[in-house]
Amino acid sequence: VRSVSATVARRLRVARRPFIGVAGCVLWAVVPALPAGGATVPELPASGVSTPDGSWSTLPMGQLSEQSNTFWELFHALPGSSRWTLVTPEGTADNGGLVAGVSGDSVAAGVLPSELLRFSPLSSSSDGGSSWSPVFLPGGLARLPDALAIESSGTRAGLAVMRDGTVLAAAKTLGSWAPLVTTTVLRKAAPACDVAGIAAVAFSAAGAPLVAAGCERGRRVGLFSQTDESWHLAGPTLTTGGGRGATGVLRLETSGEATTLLATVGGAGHQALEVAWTGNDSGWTMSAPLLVPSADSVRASAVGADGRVAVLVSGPKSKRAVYEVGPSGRAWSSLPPPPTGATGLALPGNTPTVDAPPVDVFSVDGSALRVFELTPSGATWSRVQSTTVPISYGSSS
Amino acid sequence: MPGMGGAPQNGNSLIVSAFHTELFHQLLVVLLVGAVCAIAFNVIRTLQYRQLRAKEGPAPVVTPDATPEPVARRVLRIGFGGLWILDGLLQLQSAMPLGLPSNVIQPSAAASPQWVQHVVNSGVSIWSNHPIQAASSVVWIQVGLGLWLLVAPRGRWSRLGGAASAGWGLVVWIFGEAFGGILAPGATWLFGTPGAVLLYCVGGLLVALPERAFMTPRLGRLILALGGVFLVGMSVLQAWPGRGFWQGRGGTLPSMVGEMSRTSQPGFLSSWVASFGSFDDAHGWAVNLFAVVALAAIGGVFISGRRRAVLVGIGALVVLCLSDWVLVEDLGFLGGLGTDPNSMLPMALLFVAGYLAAFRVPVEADAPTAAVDEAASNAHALVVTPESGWGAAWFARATPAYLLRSVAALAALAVVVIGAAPMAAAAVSQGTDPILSEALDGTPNSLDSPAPPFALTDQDGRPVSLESLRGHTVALTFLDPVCTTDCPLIAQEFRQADKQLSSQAVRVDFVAIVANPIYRSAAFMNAFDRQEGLTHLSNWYFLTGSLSALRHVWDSYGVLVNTATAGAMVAHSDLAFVIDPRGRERDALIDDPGPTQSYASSFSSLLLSRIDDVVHS
Repeated sequence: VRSVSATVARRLRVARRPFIGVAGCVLWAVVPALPAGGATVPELPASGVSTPDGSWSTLPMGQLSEQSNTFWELFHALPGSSRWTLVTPEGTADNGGLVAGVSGDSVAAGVLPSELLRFSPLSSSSDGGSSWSPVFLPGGLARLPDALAIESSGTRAGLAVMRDGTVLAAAKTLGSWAPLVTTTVLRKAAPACDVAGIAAVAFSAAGAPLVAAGCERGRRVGLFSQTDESWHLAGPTLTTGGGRGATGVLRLETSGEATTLLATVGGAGHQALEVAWTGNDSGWTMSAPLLVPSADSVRASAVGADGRVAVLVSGPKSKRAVYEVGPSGRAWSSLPPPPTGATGLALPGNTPTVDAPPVDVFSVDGSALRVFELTPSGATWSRVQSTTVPISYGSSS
Repeated sequence: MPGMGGAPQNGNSLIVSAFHTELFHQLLVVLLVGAVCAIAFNVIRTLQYRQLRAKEGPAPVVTPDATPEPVARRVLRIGFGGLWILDGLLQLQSAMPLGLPSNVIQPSAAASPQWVQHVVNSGVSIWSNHPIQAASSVVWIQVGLGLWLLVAPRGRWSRLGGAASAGWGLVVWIFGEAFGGILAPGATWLFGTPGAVLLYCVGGLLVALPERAFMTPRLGRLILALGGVFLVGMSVLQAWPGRGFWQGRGGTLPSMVGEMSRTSQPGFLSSWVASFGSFDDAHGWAVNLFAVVALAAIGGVFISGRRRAVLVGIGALVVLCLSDWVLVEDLGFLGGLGTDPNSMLPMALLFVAGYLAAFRVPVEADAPTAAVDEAASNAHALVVTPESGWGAAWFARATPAYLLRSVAALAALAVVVIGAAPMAAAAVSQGTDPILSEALDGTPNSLDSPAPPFALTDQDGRPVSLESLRGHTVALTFLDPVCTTDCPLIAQEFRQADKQLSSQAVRVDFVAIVANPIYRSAAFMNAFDRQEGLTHLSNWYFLTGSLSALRHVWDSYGVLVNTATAGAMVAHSDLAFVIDPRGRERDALIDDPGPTQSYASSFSSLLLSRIDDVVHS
């Protein structure tokens, strides 16, 4: 035989056994920049979060169609600014994904395990990402935008959702982690919810751990809080949803006195996105539902310091669309179609105007990042920043 | 720098040179076997001659079979013998040791179900771990089988050759052709389904049948009927909607032919294939209709069994096979890394042999008369007395022709064994040839200078220095505990070498020094050790220290460590050193693990051999 069957294989586009990648550790040569890949965004959604002390955004860059050449970058903007600075921690490959936990000006960035690495290198910074210190986390972080949370005022300094469904908590310096709760414990704590898996962690405004999980039924959001060593379901019930009312949590963030939660609930041929807000010891305020086709997914989301939430939604049959909702109006606004290559979002401003609340869209083309901001009229996006990130293609595969 | 993202090229000079050397050595053995056989032939003939001279008087004679070999069997034997020799010679290509798994076998299996790939990969790993042995083995096995079929026309030797041919063909069909691609979705007769070597198996089995099977038309009619059913089945498969064969431009057949024409090959052939591809582009539906009708019609004719119709069918099939062989299968071997001329020649051979077996049945000779005639004409026939044993009987019946054929068949069998023995050794071997690692990273540098000292702490916080390891052989490397690719593989290379050292491991220490200026605390190193299963190794040390101490060690060993920005891994040299018990560097090796498990295992073997040298020096 020669390559007859090989031809057949190519013709039929059947997946071949890939060879193990080589020599990321040793690649010194300057590899020319590769063209940006297609629109295949990795399954981990890009995320943004803002606090009164600054804004942070994680987003994939590079060759997005190829995981080994998709590098996750962390950007930081000062309060009220749309000028973003690359602050990705150094020292390890983050092409498996990057998640960040933010508290004030402090941030912890966790690298998701990839290739042959089974645990997550973690770094923390208390100066807006200018300098980083490595932190040891025993195990691999779960592939969730809010798998990591830090807190500078409470008794616990960090929470981390691990790949095995355990939530670890760290004492003050993030130097020592211990199990806090598992999926099994939450399942027992709320049998009616039928917990499907842990989805996010955060600290409440009072510094108490909050753990969000998916619920298989009941339209109840699986948000759990701890009282006297036991866990209680504290999430709101969503206003929409069909079937068994399975719910999921996409984001969970606390800023100032408010905790913001972005939840999803399935329906017939569609899914509904709802945002819930709560303050210290107060009830939940719910947004109107945003209905999107079931096949669509949230590619990026951002939570603002004022509780606003923006999502970038796309699907196989629909173009990318950006929606935004705030605690004041509680109704979703459809923003103008985002620029080509829109990959991430941020809600950086702490001085929103009524007419045009600031929303930043990150457009990625290989190693080129362009930041767009909604014009004051709210009708179009205008480019406010262009920068090139020095991506080392082929370095980590 | 090492490991720039791929394996050595198929024409890697080190591998090719080793392949040629191995072939040359085996050729010498083959020539030796030939010489021994020639001597044996002459010795036996001399003994026979002496016995003839010593004995007198008439005696019962044992005569050779007077009936000529059935022509169908002869066609099969000579045809497949020639094909095996051609296939063996094709295995001489320099690219074969490294290229066969990645260029031929794995792509063949890629479209097949997972379990097929799993089976094929078991063969691939044997080949990949021992490419020189495997490639040279196949040369001699196939040449030996071909010679065997050619030189042994009759009797047990011949039938055994047919059986061996079928057996080896089955091995190649499973592991080399991934079951001929019959389980892949794009299977088509035009491109070789059910696999050329399966046809070799059928040919071998037919040769292995007792000769009397060819003495009646039954076997031939069976071959034609089964072949006819097969062709009709292939016609149905070709006609099946949704498989892309009815489509012209962009369809399955034009795409396949287009790819064929783009492989490197003689220009005239490329243009013929390309022309057919263009024609098929324009008239895909008609071409497929022709193929469907032709296959069904020829198959139907064979099933009918009518002599005249079958003769026409044979002619049509031979023309179809030759056309397909040239225009679609591209001769099967002139381009790319060809291992055989593909399916059309053996297919035509089988059907022609079927026709001959059905309609050219040998006439049974009048055995007694013929035997007497043969005996009378055979001046060398020897006497066999009633008290003669089996050996004496064989000795007596060994006419020069019979003896020559037997000795030649024995020589051919020896050639097969010369190939099969190293292949069998490779199959049971635990290790991998070090030459793979040398082909990837270059040969190790032999040194004899004091190793730069270091004083660091291990993963448990205990101080470890080169001085404290004095008296032990040290295998030293540099690893990044949060590296996602190379370092875990290098750690496994060291672990494997440690395991293979067995009882000698107590005299050897495996030491890694952290090669990451940021993630260098013991917690990360312990996590790495747990990840790689190194925690239970008592002679494993993962060392760290202050950044300045580490930089000093990196510099003194010539290890470059560079922190990249924007989420890239720390880049560092993949280097290993073997340090003798007196603290002297003896070898510097590049330990880039390479693109496949075979390369990583190969480094382990190389490291092991270097450690072994130092331990025993």
